[in-house]
This record gives sequence, structure tokens and C-alpha cells, in this order.
Amino acid sequence: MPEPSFEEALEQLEAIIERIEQGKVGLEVALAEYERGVALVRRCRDILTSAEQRVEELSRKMVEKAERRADEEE
Amino acid sequence: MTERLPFRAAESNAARSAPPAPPSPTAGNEASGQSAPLTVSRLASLIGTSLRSAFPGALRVAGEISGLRERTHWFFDLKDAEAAVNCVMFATQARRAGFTPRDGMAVVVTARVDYYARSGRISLVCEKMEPVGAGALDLKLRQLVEELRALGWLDPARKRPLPTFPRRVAVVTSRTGAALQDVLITMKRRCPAVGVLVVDTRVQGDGAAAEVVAAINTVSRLHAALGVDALIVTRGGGSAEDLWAFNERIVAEAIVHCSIPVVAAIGHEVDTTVAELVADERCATPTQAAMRLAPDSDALLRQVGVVARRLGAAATQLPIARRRHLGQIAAELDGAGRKALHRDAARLAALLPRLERNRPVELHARLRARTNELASALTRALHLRIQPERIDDAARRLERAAATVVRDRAAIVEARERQLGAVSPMRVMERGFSVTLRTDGKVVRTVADAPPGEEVETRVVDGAFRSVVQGQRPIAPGSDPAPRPARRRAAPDDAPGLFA
Repeated sequence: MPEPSFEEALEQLEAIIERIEQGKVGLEVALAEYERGVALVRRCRDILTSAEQRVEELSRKMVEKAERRADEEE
Repeated sequence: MTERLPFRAAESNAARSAPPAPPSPTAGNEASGQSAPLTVSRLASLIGTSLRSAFPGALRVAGEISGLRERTHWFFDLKDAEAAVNCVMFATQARRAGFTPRDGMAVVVTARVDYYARSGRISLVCEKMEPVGAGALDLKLRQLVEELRALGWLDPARKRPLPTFPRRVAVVTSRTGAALQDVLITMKRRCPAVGVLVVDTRVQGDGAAAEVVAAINTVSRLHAALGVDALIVTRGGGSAEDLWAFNERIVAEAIVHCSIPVVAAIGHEVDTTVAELVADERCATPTQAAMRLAPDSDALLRQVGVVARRLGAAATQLPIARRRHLGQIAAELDGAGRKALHRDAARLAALLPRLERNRPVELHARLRARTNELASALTRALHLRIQPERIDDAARRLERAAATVVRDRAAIVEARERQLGAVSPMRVMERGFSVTLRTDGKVVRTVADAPPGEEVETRVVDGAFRSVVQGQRPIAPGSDPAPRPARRRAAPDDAPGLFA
């Protein structure tokens, strides 16, 4: 599974907290969810604090590569 | 003198079309002044005719509008530095012009020359009017905007929301322009995590529009593979001509059909281009466009902090929260089971801290599971009490049950009917049995019922006959080899009860 985007991570995190807060899951499940939540918080912070800006210019090569990938997905 | 062609033509036309033939305005006549003078109307008619033949078709005339009187019809002069001509454009044609002329506007009219005899004026009757120069561009732009508006492309409802945290933003602009630098600096300052994909295009001059269109279409088609979630189309300020590429219909079309949201920032704040009108979001400057798409890292970090604290609190207060939950349920319960449930809940609540302390893991888990079960049982119990839909449901079930009962009853009646048919005496008689009655109507059951000399009536399946008993022969029960009728009903399809 690819690493979640910031939005996905935040969404999953909200869902986890809600489940734990509502107390609908057992303690074991709640603890596992908590661990996953901690990892997601880390992921969000990593995304936000990365200082490097990735700037690329669209080249013919990139277009060709993207086209191949788009074809494969179809 | 005879070479003055217009007048020659006019003369011959007039001669043909205006009977009775008037005196011809010949050279001799003019010279001598002896012939009868022309009437003014005759002269006017000749002028009109000659004008029409001199300018037989429609003319295109360029000039500047002056002294416009705009009622239902447009009356104005068309002039240049040296001359002026009176013009009229009737309402039907005026409506089709697509714009309203103003004094000083340079236009080209398509018109025919007309001579109005009553006032002696020569006029241009205009059929078409087009602005020229800056006016022409302006008109073209306004007409395009109206067309796109009619297509619904400017409709706010059509515009898509921008992603709150795009993975990557494509920037369609000139690689060398200041606009790109503004975008990059702003994006880096606000959120370096958002990638930038620069798509270099010319942004002014011939072919610029086509390049911008190609860039937008490429990103649109490959956005998934390129990981691009939004697109910025931008360029810095310039003259109206410099920005013109972004007023082209093909650019508007590419933006509208783009598969990801488009932010447009073209020129300075005062400039509005078609590209900006149809974009999902219009920004005044490239910097603003970048701000609009790059999330605010600091604000988001604060948000993540809040979420992280909530997560921690949720986890550490888990047992406490559950205890409170049970207490709440107990408190909310009323009616017959209230006290018992309350006691259970209170006991469970009191048990929880001990559960947390006591460490045999298995026991812990089991008790925890039991607690959960009881908690959900309590919840269910509570819900049973308070949910009106449960009552509805019960009512429906009751109805269904009642319907079933009625159906079952009907089936029983049917079965009984069938049984009744089977036990009908007629059926039995068909098999050879008969009933014998005395004259008083009593059924003869035993030999004692019919002593010798008694007159009896015996009924069989198709009638009855009378006879007189001549003798008796009692049978000892059990010793008779003849089958007792009662035995016959051992067969299951036989009539039950009749011979019982």
C-alpha cells in the first residue's frame, strides 16, 4: 500500500479517533488502532515539515512515461 | 459633355420608368434656357435614379460615428477629417449589430446610398455595422463572453472546488516569466510538500494560445499518471494585445474540459480575460493563485497537533470513558428492569479499575469482553425502550402474525371440508352400506330395534325400499367372521367417525 497523502492520513486519523472515542471497539483493537493513529500523525508531520520543494519541468520524456503508465492502467 | 456617364444613364432610366415622358434635360436645353424648367420633384426623381444607378449595390464605408441619436432606429453621421455623410440604421438591422455604437467610434458600415426627396438629403441606409481597431477586439471579446455564458461555462455551479492539499500542482506559464517565480516562491514558503510541475509555454504572440491549450490538454489527460491534482494558468501583466491569447475560445474550452480544477491568474488585477472567467477559480496575481492552492503548513501543523492530542486522550481515557458510558446507561434506564440493570452497571463500573490493575491477561480480556457484551446488551435494552421505530416494527410483525393466523384458519377449514366430503354417508353408501330406519324414523342399530313383523325402510345410495322383518339372528361380539363396519375405518382414507 502506498503511503497515504496528507488528506488521506488525516481522514484515517479522524476515523480512528472516532472509533476509539465511541468505545465501540474492544481494548485490543483500540490499542492497535492507537498505534496506527500515532504512525499517521507522524506521517502528517513529516509531510508538513519537509523543507524541500520538488520542482520539475514537464519534458517529452515525462509525457511518454506518463502515457505508458496511463495505458497500463486502462 | 456627352461623356458624363451617370447623368446619361439616369436620363435613359428616367425616360423609361417615368411616363409620361418629361422634357429631356439636354445640353441644348441647359444652354439656351428656352425649354420648360424642371420641377423640383422631377429633379429629385432624376437625382434619386442617377444615384441608384451610380451606386447600384451595397457599399462598405469606413468612418467615425458622430452625432448619434439612438431611438429605435439609429441616426448618425459617418465622418472623417474632410467629409461627413448622413446615416440611418433601422431597428431590425441595429439589433443585429451586437453592440451599441458611441460617438467617436471607428466603424465600417455596409450600406446603400439613398436620396430622400422630401428633405433633399443623401443618406446611407446601413445594413451592417462592425467596429474596427480596439473596438473590434472589444466586440469580439464581448460576443465570446456572451456565447460562453450561454453555454453555462461561466456558471458558478459548474466550478469545481480546489483540492485542500494537492500532491502536485501543474503551472502552465512561461519558464522565463516573473509569474513562475512568484508561484514557486509562494508555494515554497507556504508548503514545500506540494510538488510543482512547470509546463513551459509561450504566453503571448501568435501560437501562444495553441501552446497553452496543448499544455492544459496534456496535463488533463495524464494528471493521474503525473500525480497532478490542480493546474494554474498564469502570466504577468501586459498590454491588452499581450494578454490576448487568454481571450481565445480554444483556451477557454481547454480550461473548461480540463479534468482537474484550474486556477487562472492573467495579467494585473484590473485585467479580466476569458480564461479567468471560465476557470474554477480566478486570482488577481500569480502569487494569489499559489496561495490559493498551497495549503498553510503552519495552520495544518497546529491542526495535526490537535488531532494527535485527541488521539492520546481517547486512548488513555478509554476505561474511564467506558465506565462513564455504563453509568450513563444505568441512569437513563427506567421501568421494571431499571434497578437490576443499574446494579449491574454500577458493579461493572466499579469492577473496571480493578480490571485495569489485575494483570492475568486472559482474565482481563475475558472480563473485558463480558463487559462489552453487557454494555451492548444494556445499550440494546435502552434502545428497545426508546426507539419508536421498534414499536412500528413490532406493529408490523403483529399484523403479519395475525394475517398468518387467518391464513392458517382458512387452511384448516378447507381440510375439514375435504374430510367432511369423505365422511358423507352417501360416499359410504356407494360402497354398499345402507341405513335401515323404523317407521318412527329411528335408525336400526341392534336386532332389538327391529323385532320380527316390524316394518322398516332401508336406504341405499340411489333410493330406499321397504320391508318387513321376518326373523332375527343375534351375533356374539368378536366371534363373527364378518367384518364389523367399525373395523373398516382402519384404512387412513376412510371416513373417520361415522361408524365409531
